Amino acid sequence: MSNKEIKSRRDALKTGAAVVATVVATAGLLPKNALAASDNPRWAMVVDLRKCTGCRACTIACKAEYGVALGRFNTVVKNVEFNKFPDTEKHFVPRLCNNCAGEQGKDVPPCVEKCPQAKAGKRMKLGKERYRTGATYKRPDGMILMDMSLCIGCYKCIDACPYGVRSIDPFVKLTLPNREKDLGVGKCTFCAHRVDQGIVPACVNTCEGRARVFGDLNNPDSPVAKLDKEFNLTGTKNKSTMLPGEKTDPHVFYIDPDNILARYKLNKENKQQEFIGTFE
Amino acid sequence: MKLKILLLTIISVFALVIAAVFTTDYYTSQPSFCGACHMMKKYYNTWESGKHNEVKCIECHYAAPTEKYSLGSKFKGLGQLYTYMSTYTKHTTVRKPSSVNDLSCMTMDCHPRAKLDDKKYAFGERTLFVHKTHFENTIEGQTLHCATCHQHLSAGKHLEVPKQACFLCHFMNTEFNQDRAKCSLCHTIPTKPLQRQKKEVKPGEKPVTHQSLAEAKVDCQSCHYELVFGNGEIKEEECVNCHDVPEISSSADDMELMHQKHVGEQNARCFDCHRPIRHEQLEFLDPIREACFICHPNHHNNQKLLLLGKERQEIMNVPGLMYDVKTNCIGCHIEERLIGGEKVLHGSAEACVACHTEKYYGMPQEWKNKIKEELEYALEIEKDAEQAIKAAENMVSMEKLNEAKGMLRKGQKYLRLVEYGGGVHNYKYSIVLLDDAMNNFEDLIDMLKE
Repeated sequence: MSNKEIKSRRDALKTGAAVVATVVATAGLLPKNALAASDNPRWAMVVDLRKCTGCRACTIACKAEYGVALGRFNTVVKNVEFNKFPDTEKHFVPRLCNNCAGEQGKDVPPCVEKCPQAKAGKRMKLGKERYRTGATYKRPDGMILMDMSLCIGCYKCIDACPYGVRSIDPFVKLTLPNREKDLGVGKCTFCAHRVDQGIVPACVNTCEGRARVFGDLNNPDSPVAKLDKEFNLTGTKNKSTMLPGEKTDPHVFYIDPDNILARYKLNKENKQQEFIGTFE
Repeated sequence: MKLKILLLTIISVFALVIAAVFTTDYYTSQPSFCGACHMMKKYYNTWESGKHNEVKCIECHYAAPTEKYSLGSKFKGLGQLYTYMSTYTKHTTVRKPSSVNDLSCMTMDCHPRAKLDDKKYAFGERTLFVHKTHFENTIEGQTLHCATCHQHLSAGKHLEVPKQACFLCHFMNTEFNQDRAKCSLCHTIPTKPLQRQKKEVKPGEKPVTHQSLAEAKVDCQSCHYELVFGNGEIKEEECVNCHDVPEISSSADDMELMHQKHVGEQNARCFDCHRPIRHEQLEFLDPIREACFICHPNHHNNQKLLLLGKERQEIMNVPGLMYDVKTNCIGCHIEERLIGGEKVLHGSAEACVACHTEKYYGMPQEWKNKIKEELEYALEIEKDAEQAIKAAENMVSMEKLNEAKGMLRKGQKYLRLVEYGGGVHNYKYSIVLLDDAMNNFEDLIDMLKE
């Protein structure tokens, strides 16, 4: 997409021009009002808990897209059961990286805050916003991405994430000198490589019940913004997001009329268990 | 008939006089009346908003127990007023502060001694206080009254115990953690684990805690040092506040006598004469800097700011990596080099390796290189920005130019902080600062181009 490294002042200016050109050229997913303000898109996902059938096609699509290691998952669908027979309830709660915006005012999610290499990369420009890559960083369009070539393997991000999204990835070896023996960290990336090309993430693409919806919150015509308007998701974050008490401002919203999220007890003691083993 | 009238007159005059006396007594006993002569507005306000606002002034403040509630003491007050108004040059008597007799606090209705003695008071987070020891074991020559500790110092509190009052007696003329300055006298040992990153305790392992250290008889001062500041010396210039004689009498060195005269008899407060002693955990960086403060005020401030990594406008809070474990300057600056014949301590990667593993040996150098590279780039853009402002001087409106100059200044502030502070002190924070500086420079160039 419009993501360019800033090399020198002149290049930076050129990038600005290129951004405008690409934004105009790419239709479909890209926001129509991107030209109006300096705004970049703000990618978000809406998960309609009424529609999820627990088929786990998303988990498989994700595995196929990334070649996720055995025993690791970037997205899972949790079986959630409440009450005792005969009043039992069973629900499915799809889980993935929340791509948190971070506490208001701070605007840094906990994983990026704790990463010592969060600013170790190159200066880049997206739209009119400049940012810097790092081992874990937040792109101006809201995606929390990783660059494993900068990671030193301290795993502070794994501890910092309250959702247990991150885990050690046996398929990724670190590359920085002296750290070659350590393993990298894996997590859902919102399929940044697909979104940058103008198509939706693999899990959204494959979702049979259309329970997962992806789009740009800043663009009122996107399906996500429409759902947000209909269900007031961003207005009721305490209800529509996971662990609102952590003040991470997640950007994966759940349409949740049965109050499943509030009753769903996340395994805080062993949070990584949340993302290991789809069948419990 | 005449006798009747005379009798009636006498009775009525007598009744009037009695009524007048009672009214006067009642009226002059009101707290609002005291302020008519005494300069006490500040104290009155704190009393009115405090817990004791149903206790009248005269119930606690009187010169001697016999004068409590007496009409005579009020006339004495009139005498004082006359003296105050008529003499304005030399006061022959010593001006005394208002006092509260212990008896007025410890009545059966208010705070009887029996109730106070053994009750434990939590004072702060881990500090317990018992009255009994303070009544019984005092410093030689010192008599403690209620008002010695329950002073009126800060605004908003009528009877408050300032912590400084504790510190002065406990720390003046004492060695650290000795006698009455012993940590365990006031503090209980915290139960918080010392190895925060250790989440599971395997069988056979003994995690290090405050308790295990206390069992092994490790001194508190092995880890907690530099906690007491100042020595509570006498403020000799303040003597004249009460005494009009400028010379200090030779008996001023007699501590016992001075305390007896001032605290025992006059209820003087500690800080009428003493400078306060501070007892606090300073920022872990300051003690090491303090030794040089006399000649080099606030030296190495940029380094300190980088290590603390405080939140600034549009910049996130990034404390240095060693902030949590309170590693200060000499934790890393361990290598002695001779510069101009003087020993100078340099930072060394040996310090990293000493606590962490061998693989961190090259890390400080990596950081230095990266920051140097970024800094050079930022300085280049700074030049560009300065030139852009110069070029645009007569081309754009004054407002726009001022805005651009503001942005330049803001960027330069952060740039200088990293340049002079040595970015390696806090790698991530330095890059964040440099990024913000560069963004400012680039934004202003873009703005002027438009």
